[in-house]
Amino acid sequence: METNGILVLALALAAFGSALGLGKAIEAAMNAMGRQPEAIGKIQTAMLIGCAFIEALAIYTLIAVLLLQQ
Amino acid sequence: MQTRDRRTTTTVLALLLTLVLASAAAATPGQDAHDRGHGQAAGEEHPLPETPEDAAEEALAHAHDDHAEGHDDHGGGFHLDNIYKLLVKNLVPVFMGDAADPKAVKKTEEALYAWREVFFSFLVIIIMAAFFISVGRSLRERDPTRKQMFVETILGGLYGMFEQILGKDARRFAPYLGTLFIFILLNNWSGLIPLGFSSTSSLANTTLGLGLMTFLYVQYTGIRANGLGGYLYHFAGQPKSPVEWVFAIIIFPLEVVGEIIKPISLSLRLFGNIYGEETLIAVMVMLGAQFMGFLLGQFGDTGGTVAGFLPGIPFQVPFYFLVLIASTVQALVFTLLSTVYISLMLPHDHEEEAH
Repeated sequence: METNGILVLALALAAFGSALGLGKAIEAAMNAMGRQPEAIGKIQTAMLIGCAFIEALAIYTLIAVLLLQQ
Repeated sequence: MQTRDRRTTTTVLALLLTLVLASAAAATPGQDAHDRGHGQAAGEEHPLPETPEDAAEEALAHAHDDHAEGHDDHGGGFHLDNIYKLLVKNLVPVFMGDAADPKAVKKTEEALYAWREVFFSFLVIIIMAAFFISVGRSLRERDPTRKQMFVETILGGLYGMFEQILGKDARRFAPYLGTLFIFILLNNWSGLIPLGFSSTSSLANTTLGLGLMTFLYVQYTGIRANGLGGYLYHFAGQPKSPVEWVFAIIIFPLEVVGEIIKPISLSLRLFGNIYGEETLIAVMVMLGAQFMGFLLGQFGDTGGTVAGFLPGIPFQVPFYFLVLIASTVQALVFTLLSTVYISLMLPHDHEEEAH
């Protein structure tokens, strides 16, 4: 039971970091879109790819938690 | 026009209502404190409360802990029942006959149930192929049908996206990438249908396959576009001066490892997201069933008159919309990353800036 609690904490920590990173990335993308509405398509594509890489870290933690959970 | 609008609204509302009722029926009735205690007592094996067996037989479909039945291959977590499992459960005993050993029956069921991703993938493939072939046969330049316009909208949007990354090469790769997108999207969404299942929510059977396919296609593209020598030269970091050739010895293994990691991270990302979404919905269904049991207990309705047709409060419905969007984003991310990997392999100026 204690292991599961630690795993949940680990997942929360990963989600926290991932959320910070995603927030920063999306903030910058929104700023860029507001400044240059004609480049929205390109910015969106780049943002999505970046978000995928950031989010992947939280997903790796989720998979590790799923594997380790008892 | 007016009548059609009203009819459309009614249809959508009716569909939504059916969805709510069906998903509520998918919940298991009777999740009370006793069952929770039982789940905790056996906490070593299943961390989450388990479905009582008698209720399992009554319900059309029910939320339950897969781990308890030995089907789960990623250790723990909820799954809702799906149509393939019900088929296997009902058909195998019939085909094996009464004389068969119950252990052998169970073993056959488990062996067949391991093919669930293949079953649902093929279901999606058949639906996709039937739809697109039927559209492709009735293509018209003038006065296109509604289906054709729908397909043209989707394909045009996808093609525009690939064109932004690949430029004029997009035409060569659009068939593979577009099919990848539609296949992953439909697979992700098929988990939202009551009695459906997302085959992308399993690591080894679908997502790793998709990742490997993309990997092989990218390598093939690289070798064909650059030649074998250019392909290896690309891996060495395109050295020009003697100093760079020395560094190439270090860079080469790093690039090779980075290339091998790509399909693994692609498939892990897709699997993790979709599995997480499915688990979220299953947990919400269970929560709704538990809450309904609590409410019925409060009002003294233990006979199950209400629970007969609404076994759970549909807490999961708001999350359906979240999952709809997130599934689309994940399909898009998988496709876009594949596109980027292909564009990195092609010999143009993208190559230098992306490293």
